[in-house]
Amino acid sequence: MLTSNKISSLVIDTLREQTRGHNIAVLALYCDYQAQKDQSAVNMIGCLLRQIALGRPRIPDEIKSAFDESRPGGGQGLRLADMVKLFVKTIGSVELVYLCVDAVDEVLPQHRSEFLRALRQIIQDAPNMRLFLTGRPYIRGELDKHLTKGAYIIHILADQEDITRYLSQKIDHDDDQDPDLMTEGLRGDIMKTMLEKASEM
Amino acid sequence: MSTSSTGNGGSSVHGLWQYGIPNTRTDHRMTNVGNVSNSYNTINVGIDEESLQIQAWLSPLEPHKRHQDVRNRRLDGVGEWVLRRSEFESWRKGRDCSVNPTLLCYGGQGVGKTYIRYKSVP
Repeated sequence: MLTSNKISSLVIDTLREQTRGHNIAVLALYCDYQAQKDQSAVNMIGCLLRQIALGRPRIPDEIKSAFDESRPGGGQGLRLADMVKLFVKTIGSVELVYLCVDAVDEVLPQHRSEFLRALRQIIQDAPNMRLFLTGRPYIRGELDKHLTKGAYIIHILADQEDITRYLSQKIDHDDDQDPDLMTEGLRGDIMKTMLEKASEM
Repeated sequence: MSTSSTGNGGSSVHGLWQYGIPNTRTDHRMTNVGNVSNSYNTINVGIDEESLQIQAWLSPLEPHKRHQDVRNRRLDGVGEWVLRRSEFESWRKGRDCSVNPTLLCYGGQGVGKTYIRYKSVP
């Protein structure tokens, strides 16, 4: 069955492939109900900074300064507002930042609204940000309220993967036809049309 | 600023995510040494130790593990229709402020719930 995280991983891999060698960052967050206690808004934005840092030859100065400043107090973590500011500042030198957040609905409700507000702040302050989200339908209202009003929307059916498998099998075992008639192009067209029709249902 | 990690040997060790791209070279090095945690500690000296501290200070989350796990279970071609949708293309290519910066894919109850429902039937 097709789950949102497979779509997310595909989008992440595709964007990375397409942007390799460019000054473009592709960042990823997988929300997971099994890791809810660590998935606070500040940890998630911090995780994005960590990914930015890992993509550089050395830790960016902005991050290092913030770390050094926190040390007199025993290396305390940043507050969410400061983490957001630090993130926006750090990505200032990146041409474009794609951020993919999978399964927003799996973040605990008390962390979620804070996290969504932080994302909105980032989008407002960083014009180089592109945000990709997946989530279950019931969370749509909450997302629209905070973040996705006017956004691009794609509806994913849960059984898309089953449809794909079924079609592949049917085409492969279509013995009545001349095999030469089924070109890769035609096969792709059939798949594409059927899945698009299915997603409109 | 560049996404390449030439020069500083330590950077490639840390560069598990060259902007998110898992660094396979690192994995090889670790595998060759045999003991992952030891090789990690041995390779990272001086400034790299601080780098580890800073990473831990930023966040305990490690989404690259989940990413690897999911992509290993992904079938070829599945979900690619999403990439061909005009909404995706517009979102991906949009560079100016007139384009909405957000794309939401919603739907699906996911495999987890189905599985649980099956299992709970006596």
